[in-house]
Amino acid sequence: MDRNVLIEIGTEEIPAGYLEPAARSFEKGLRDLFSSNKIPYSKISIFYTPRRLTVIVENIAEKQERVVNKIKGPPAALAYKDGKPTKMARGFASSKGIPLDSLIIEKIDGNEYVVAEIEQEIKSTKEILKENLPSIIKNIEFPKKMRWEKTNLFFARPIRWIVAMLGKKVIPVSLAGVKSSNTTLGNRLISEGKIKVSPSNYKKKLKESYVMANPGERKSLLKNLIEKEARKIKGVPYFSPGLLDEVSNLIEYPFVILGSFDKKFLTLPDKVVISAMETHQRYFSVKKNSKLMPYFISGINNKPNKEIIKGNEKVLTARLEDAKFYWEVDRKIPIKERLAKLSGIKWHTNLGNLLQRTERLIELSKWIGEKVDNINLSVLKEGAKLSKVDLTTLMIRDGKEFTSLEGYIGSQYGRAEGLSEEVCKVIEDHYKPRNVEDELPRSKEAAIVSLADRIDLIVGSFLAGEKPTGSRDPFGLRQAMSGFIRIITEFKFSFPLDELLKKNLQLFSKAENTEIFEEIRQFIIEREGGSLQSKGIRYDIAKAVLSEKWNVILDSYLVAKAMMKIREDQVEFEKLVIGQKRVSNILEGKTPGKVNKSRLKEKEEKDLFNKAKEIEPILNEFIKKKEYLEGINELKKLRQSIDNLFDNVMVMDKDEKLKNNRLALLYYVRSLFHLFCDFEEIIID
Amino acid sequence: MQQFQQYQVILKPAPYDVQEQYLESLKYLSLDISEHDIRFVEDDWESPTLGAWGLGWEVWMDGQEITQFTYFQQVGGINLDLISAELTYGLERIAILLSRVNSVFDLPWSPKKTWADLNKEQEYQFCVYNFDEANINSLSKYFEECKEEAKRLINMNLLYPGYDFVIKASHTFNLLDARGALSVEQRNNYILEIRKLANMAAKKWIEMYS
Repeated sequence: MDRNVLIEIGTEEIPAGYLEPAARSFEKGLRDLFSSNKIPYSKISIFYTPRRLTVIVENIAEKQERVVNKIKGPPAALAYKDGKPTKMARGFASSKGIPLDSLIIEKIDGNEYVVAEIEQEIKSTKEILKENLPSIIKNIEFPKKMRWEKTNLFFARPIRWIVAMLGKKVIPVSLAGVKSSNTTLGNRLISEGKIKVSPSNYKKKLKESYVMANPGERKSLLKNLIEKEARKIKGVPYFSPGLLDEVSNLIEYPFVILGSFDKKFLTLPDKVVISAMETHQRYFSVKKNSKLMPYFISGINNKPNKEIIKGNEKVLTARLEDAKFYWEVDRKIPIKERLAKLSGIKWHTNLGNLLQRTERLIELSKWIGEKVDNINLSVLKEGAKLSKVDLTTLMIRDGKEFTSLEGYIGSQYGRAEGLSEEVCKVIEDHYKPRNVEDELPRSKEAAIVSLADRIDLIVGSFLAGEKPTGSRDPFGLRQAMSGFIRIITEFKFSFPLDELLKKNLQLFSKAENTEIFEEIRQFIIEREGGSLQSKGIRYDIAKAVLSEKWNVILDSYLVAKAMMKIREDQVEFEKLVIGQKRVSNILEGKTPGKVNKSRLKEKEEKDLFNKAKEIEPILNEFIKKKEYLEGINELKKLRQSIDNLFDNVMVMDKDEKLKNNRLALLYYVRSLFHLFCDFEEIIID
Repeated sequence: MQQFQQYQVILKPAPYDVQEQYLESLKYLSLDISEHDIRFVEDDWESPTLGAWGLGWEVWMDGQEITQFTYFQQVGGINLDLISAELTYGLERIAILLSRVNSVFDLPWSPKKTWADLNKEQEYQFCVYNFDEANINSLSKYFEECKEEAKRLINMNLLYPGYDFVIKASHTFNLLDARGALSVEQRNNYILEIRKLANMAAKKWIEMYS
């Protein structure tokens, strides 16, 4: 006998991106229902198309398993006297509605109690589903929900039918004005409409009506069909990340068409042509020997015919015509002349226009560039100067699919005008990395302009009162700072951030604003901490390092890495940390003056002083070479002398002068540790 | 385009077979849906200035958007009791499909004249105005005037003329926006201000008529 359950929620078209998570949420609702009600089954599978979310449960039990609830009663000693039930036992049994002789005695926590076993009412699977399906459907999760009828149910799109069956029988359910049945609908465009189904013939029946409910099957067939079309023209389809998934969830059954466009559009930059195909139309582009071909492939929901192909070609041609028009008109104004036009575009209300922003970017880039080796300063300046000019072009200002190509468009116009490849690279790459997955700029110069762009965005936004709070970060400052940190650590740039910040504030004529400086500093330290932890650095080490090294991001990263390395040897690490902690504890935050060498009396203090003096230049040498692991290891040499001092010399001597000199000695020792990080923050597990 | 025609149908409350009714309506335009690829592609309509939004789709026919389909959820910042379905047919786009031409400019208006003959010059002039010549200062001032006038009229229960000025403020904002005159922050402020006015008008309507 067919003991399978079929539940299909028939809807109007649900957005492609919602489908898989919603089907999973639906599945989970049912799994939870079955497990909490003790209904066994062998398998549960999900299916979906834009017009349906479906779950099929195989070999489900007819009813719940027997469930016995045990209720603890009075202690056995009080319930029975001489083997006979007392009043207490009778009262307990009758209050639970069971015969006196069905009471049992069980040991609970070492004592014997009377226990009533109450069998839960067993319900049929059908009944349980009938009662619970409405709330399971209501609780399916979607990013956005809507209302459409008078019961005010919230769902992604209107529910228009429900198939709910156990075997061949309908499970009667009613929701949002829809009553369940055994009837579903086929493909909107090419089927006869209503189809009677059962759990066992569901997939087959739907396929006959041009609905492929299995998303994996639909996607792989779509992919095969696309590749087959591309082979017809000896090309290879280009699958952008996510595009195949999206298209396969925009249709119920995969059909594909191959269309073409005029070769003249191939003179446009590749990304422009691909954007025209992908962004709105969700077409697949086709390449041959990695060159674009004047063809596109589209997944559609109906059997292909000439009319459909022609219609799609027309739409794409119109988009490409737009792009070509922009390309031609934009090129009439040379890119260098566009600089002045930037003054017509405001950035922030109180922060001036994009020309002013560009001028700051030039200054900031120059400032950073001078602190980095092997920089082509003229490429850097030219790149910074032209970095934003494409924001004046029609291609970008149109606000359509090409707007996301900012940077790329500027570099393409630059190339067409014969600007050097290096400058074009700066223009194109100074937006990178756009997110955590994105690649880094491809040259040092581009990386520096990217840093300038990011810090100017951060400083400007803080000045405009647009700092990130909680989950709100409308200008993407956190992302900007993460990219900043990534660039610095990958390119190994080393420069003091506080000076860059001051320079930037000064360029905004806000050099005096120390409050904003401090706010930004805190923001940066927080992001640095997050970045270190994402690289596997412990929280306490990140904190210790940042308190000394936040200002040079590369150093904070390298010191943190060195500390993590040293920490691998737990014993040695403890020695190092505890030695410094002894020193800090006795100082209690005091900052005494300099050591007076002639007042060093005991041999232990002289020894510590000499050791410290001896390693100080070595430490500085390591620091200069950024060899922090070696540097920190060098500190270990102080440990024995520190211990000797504490074990044999009374630091807090009655003689005020001796005491202060000893504290000064310890403070000096502490300062050597602090060349790397604030060891007081380190936690020894 | 500066000037285009939309045929708007509002069905309230939304009938359960509204999608089928819509598809049926295409047949009356002599479009045989079994011969085309029709898709309901996610597109949630929103007018941030008017505090109005809904969920729905743009309807594609062979890759071309021909209709905006929206289940209205909120108007003037107020949740709707009764959900309506709004169908907005893009008439030029449908005409392009029906007359099998390549662009709106080629649409035959009469046996001898095309859409371009009638409208191209006007489109061109408005383009120049919208993108280059619209006077930012005077539009900014006019925006303020519309705002004040809307408030004044709505407050004295002259709701309909008041609401007209809300729409005028919204239109003026669109012009400023197209002109590229607004920074991100300014843009948000303008939107918020108009939304406040729209909400004020919606509340007044409830106060006066419900």
